[in-house]
Amino acid sequence: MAWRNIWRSPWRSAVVIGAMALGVWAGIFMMGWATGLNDSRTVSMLDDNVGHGRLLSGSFDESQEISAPLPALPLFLETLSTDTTVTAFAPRIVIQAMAQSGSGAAPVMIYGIYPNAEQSVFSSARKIPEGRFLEDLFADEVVIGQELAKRLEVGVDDRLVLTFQDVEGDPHTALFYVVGLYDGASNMLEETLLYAPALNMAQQTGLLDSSAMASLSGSPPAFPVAHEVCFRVQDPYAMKPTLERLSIQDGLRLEQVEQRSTIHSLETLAFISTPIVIKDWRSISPELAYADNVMAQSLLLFMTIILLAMAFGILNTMLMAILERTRELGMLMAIGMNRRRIFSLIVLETILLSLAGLPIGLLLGHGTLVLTSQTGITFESVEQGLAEFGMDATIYPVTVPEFYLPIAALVFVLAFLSALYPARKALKLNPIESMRVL
Amino acid sequence: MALIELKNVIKVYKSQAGNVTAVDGISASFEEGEFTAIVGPSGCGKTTLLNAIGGLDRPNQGTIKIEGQDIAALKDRDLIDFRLQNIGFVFQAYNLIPVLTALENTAFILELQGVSKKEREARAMELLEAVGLADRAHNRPNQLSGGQQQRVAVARALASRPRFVLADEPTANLDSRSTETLLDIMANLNQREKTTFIFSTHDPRVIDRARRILLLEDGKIVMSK
Repeated sequence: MAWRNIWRSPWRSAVVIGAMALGVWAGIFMMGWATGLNDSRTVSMLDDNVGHGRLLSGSFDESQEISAPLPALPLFLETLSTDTTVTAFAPRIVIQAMAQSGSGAAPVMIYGIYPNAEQSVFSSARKIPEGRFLEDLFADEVVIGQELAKRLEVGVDDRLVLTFQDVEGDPHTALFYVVGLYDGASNMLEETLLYAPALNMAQQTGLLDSSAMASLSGSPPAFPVAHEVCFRVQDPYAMKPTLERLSIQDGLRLEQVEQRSTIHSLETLAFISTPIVIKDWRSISPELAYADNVMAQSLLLFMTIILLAMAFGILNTMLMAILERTRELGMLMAIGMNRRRIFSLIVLETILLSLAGLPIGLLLGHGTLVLTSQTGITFESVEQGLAEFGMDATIYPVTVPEFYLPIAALVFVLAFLSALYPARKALKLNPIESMRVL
Repeated sequence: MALIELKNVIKVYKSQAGNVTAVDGISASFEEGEFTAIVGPSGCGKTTLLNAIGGLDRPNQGTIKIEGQDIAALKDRDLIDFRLQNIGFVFQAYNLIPVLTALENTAFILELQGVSKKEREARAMELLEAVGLADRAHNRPNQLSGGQQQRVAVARALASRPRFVLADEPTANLDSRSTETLLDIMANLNQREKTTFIFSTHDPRVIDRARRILLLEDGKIVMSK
């Protein structure tokens, strides 16, 4: 009876069902689009500069002290290279500095890198639209971001002066040649990060002393020194086992250090007994993790607002239906239909009316997402703005089946709530006054 | 014991013009199997009296006992259930449910009573046959004439085998032929099922067929024969 009642005014019900379908479609599409946008930004940032995971010494993590490189580097590099889930790794020296050109100065972060390793992990080291990437580990060369080049008004083959502290805390100034400009995913990063050869920086900062440097002239280890090691894994959303294996490795290392403590000087012992910090991308870049975490909640909130607006439309429709059927409801009460049944009838009608549009909206929304996830949606007019946030102009929405059940539940709850007022109105009717006869 | 017993029933409506006494101290009783017409001019209190007997309106004073049960003392919820189990209603404007077929309309009260589908459909079809509408069982009200709709309404009122049927001007919207047919059917059912019928009417054709007539004027019974 409730279902048949809905079709007393076919056009009115069709409009409400159509509006609900349209609202759900728009909500689903927005959810898929926003999730695609966020995923695109996350993947872009992870590929560009953040990486999937990072190892660094505890003291460097706390203070960014240049004199706190990663202890037992070869051990961890071996662990990473034998771990099947790790696809690439890149050790880095990290130094805060001031870059100066003839036109200006800017605070920068120098990544002292091993070029091949860096390029295997990060896309920004591979995208060099002008010049070339670093090749020689000792050369006085830098690769800077396009934005920094604009700001300092320098180009390929121009000179740049870098000022930074060495391991003793003394200021150190050196001249470098710009050999290339990289294209990063974010303009902000392009402005602040620059690449220099790892061993050049190790030498200039004193991270490797003269004897250590001399030993490198024979058959040097591939990566003699680093503040941190960035790595990529097969699936950045399932890297817990990798992190656990690295943590166990560090525990074993510290145990060995304790057993052999007598053979070390206090200074050396303090260095090698520092526990390492193992980070995944969520802790390296909390803003990415935050965006990822709040996205689902924000999208559901957005959907709730859409559906809330729909609920008022449904409430209005049901109120009109009650008004039109006052006489009939009075008759039903007169012949013995109790309040519980009247209430159930109105609530059921409202829920059916609301739910009728739901599968249509879900199907349309899902279909649109499947289609656009293949074709992508390009926003040429805001390309530059998106680039500022490390995003491509073409967004690929993704299907969001995990939201369908919560949306259905939301529609159900809102339909129930929007039925309460019309049902209350119906229950307040007086049979005699409603019928005006008997 | 009388089926329905009214003692000094008074119903007063308040209006801006002052209090209007629609039923003024009526005492009467109705026995099982009666075919009674309450007659009188418009505004004499016929409908108010039927409303009070049917438990749709509470008197300001007096008692209405149905098989010894004072319905004025029942709570609203119990009164609804009492109506469902004991009283059949036939309205002037038919008041069928437009989205249900004649069969479903007839079976509706049985559905409210929780009777099984098979049982209620059998009873509804039996009544539709009795009112001559078995062939229209699956038609909706808008596919039936006024007379046919009122016959479905009578079938609905009788479906649950009520203790009595209250009919408020049931022939007011019907032509002569439909009126005669409806009256034949009701008289027949009164005989066959021993159902008590109480009408309010000023239709002489109904008055002619009634076996008992109560004449109301200004809320009082002025004649009973």
